[in-house]
Amino acid sequence: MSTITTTTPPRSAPSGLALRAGARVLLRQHRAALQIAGALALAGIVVLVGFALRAAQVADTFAADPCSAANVGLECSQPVRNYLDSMSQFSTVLGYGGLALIVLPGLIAAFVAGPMIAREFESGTYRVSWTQSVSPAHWFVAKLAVPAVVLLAGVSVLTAVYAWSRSQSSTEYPVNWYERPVFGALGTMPVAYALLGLALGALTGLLIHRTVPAMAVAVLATGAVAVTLTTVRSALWPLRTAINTASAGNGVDADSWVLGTGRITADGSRLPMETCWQRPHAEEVRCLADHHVTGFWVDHHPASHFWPLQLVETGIVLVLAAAAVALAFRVLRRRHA
Amino acid sequence: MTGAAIEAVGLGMTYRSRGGNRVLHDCSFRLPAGRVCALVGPNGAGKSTLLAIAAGFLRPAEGTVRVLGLTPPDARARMAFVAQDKPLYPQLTVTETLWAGAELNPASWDQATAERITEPLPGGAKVRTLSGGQRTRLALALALGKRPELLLLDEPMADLDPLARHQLMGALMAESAEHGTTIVMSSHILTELEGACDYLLLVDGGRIRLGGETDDLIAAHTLLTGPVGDLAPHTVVESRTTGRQLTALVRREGPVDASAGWETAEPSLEELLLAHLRSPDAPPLLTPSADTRTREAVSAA
Repeated sequence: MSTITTTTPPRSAPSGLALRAGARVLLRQHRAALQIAGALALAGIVVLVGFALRAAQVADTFAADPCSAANVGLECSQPVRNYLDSMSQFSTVLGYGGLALIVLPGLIAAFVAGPMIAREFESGTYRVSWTQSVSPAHWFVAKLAVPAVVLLAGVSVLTAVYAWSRSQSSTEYPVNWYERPVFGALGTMPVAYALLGLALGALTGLLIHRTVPAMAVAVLATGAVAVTLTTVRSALWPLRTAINTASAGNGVDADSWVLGTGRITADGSRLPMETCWQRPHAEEVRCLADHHVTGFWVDHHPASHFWPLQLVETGIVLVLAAAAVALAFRVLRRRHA
Repeated sequence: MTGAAIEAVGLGMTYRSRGGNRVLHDCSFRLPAGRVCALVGPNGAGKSTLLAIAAGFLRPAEGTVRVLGLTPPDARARMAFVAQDKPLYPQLTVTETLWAGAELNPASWDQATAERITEPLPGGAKVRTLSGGQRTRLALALALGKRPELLLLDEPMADLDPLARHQLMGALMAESAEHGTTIVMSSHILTELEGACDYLLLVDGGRIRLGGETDDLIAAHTLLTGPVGDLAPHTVVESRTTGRQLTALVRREGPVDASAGWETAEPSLEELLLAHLRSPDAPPLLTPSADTRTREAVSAA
């Protein structure tokens, strides 16, 4: 039994201690949500890995088979069809997987804004939290730090699993790096957007003290940032332009993100691809000569631009997340001391 | 223990969301440490607002408040607050709620005190399944387990049956007697807290109408019945005449003139409070210990 001390030293708990206590209580409060999220993540991983292993196995079997994708003789049509069906299915699964990863930040924002923060205000439990020996600032830091750690770990694993699964995909149904769900599910993007969802959710929860409207606004805000950045994504790193005389695709790698193509003239001005389109060949040649067309231009991001594009967008997202957190602390201080 | 548990000077509060309704206006009082204080007043008088300001949830629009000599946020670790709707984390069980209390108040938590209060509750029950009275019990356990120097309770007894009320009031009194805890309890049922509280604050119309030791406040007033006559020099709180019969509650200024033929009696607490609520124009009375202007005099005493 502990003895009761009669002295009254400063009773505010030290910062680190208060934060750890707040984190433990927070984890206990949202245990059910954490378990469900964990189960869903695990299910996602199992599905992805399962399909990837099966695709790899089908591909190996097919490679060992005398039939190949190029040889579609009658006796090979069934193995070829089986192989292509399997690859197409896997490509679809990878598409949905990427989609799940890019909508995840919205779900995070909704959960943090609603059940984690706004509901505390709506149901009045913030008055329980803030009358313990823990300041509102500590309470809020715990609500940022705990999800941040969980998300950093969880989303990193999901991204890694996704990247590995994608490496198992076939060339017949390529899952191109620049497709929206794929680009957003690879590299540093998922973690950055998850943190943005957390920050915007926390800010919204502090501003809107009602669960459902806070969730809706948090989803919209996170979605707006994601859609805006996706729209301007190709401009985040300088495009490379290829000039070819023979054909449009010449000199541009197959896995490049092609953003525009057309005809180019001797003085370097660009004409649309349709210039002199759909005419008899002889007439087309004359028409092109009249326009001084010398070849094609192709604006594209080669695969080597993957990381620069990822890192620039990640940087922007993280700056926005930091701004949202700073604003949230201002709101907390101004409203509640 | 000397000094003030709460000292408020010129508190003003206006809720914009309620159409600019002024909830508190020039509200000043002092609550000495170690008292058990009843904060009474009609519905909407500003009791909850006053408690929320003292607990540090609301920042007053005007004026200042010191709690245990500190600003409310600085005093957070040394006071406990139970809001009117008894908020608790709905996902936690009774046992987990006490665990959270221990986690969040590592310096002062007293598990034995908390468990004494929650004894009749099923430990494994989720908070969301508890009845109103059970929630009150758990909320009080969380507050008392913190071992606060100041305990602010907003309408604490509203959901309790008479037996539980008696029991919990006893626990609060024991806490106050044993540790010198200052307790403030609000109620809109004027006499609910009679007998338990030795200090009284009557809030009405956003101001403190009466403040001080309950006995002193009652003793300062006299209930007069007798023939109609001049009540000067006494301060009349409320007077009624039926025919030639006068009934008046006065604040005595000197001895009552026996020759006027009045019967004098000490008013009950309910009579005193009702007379003040029916007469909004009666001047406020704060005993020296409750008056912020006599602070020097009190600390000298």
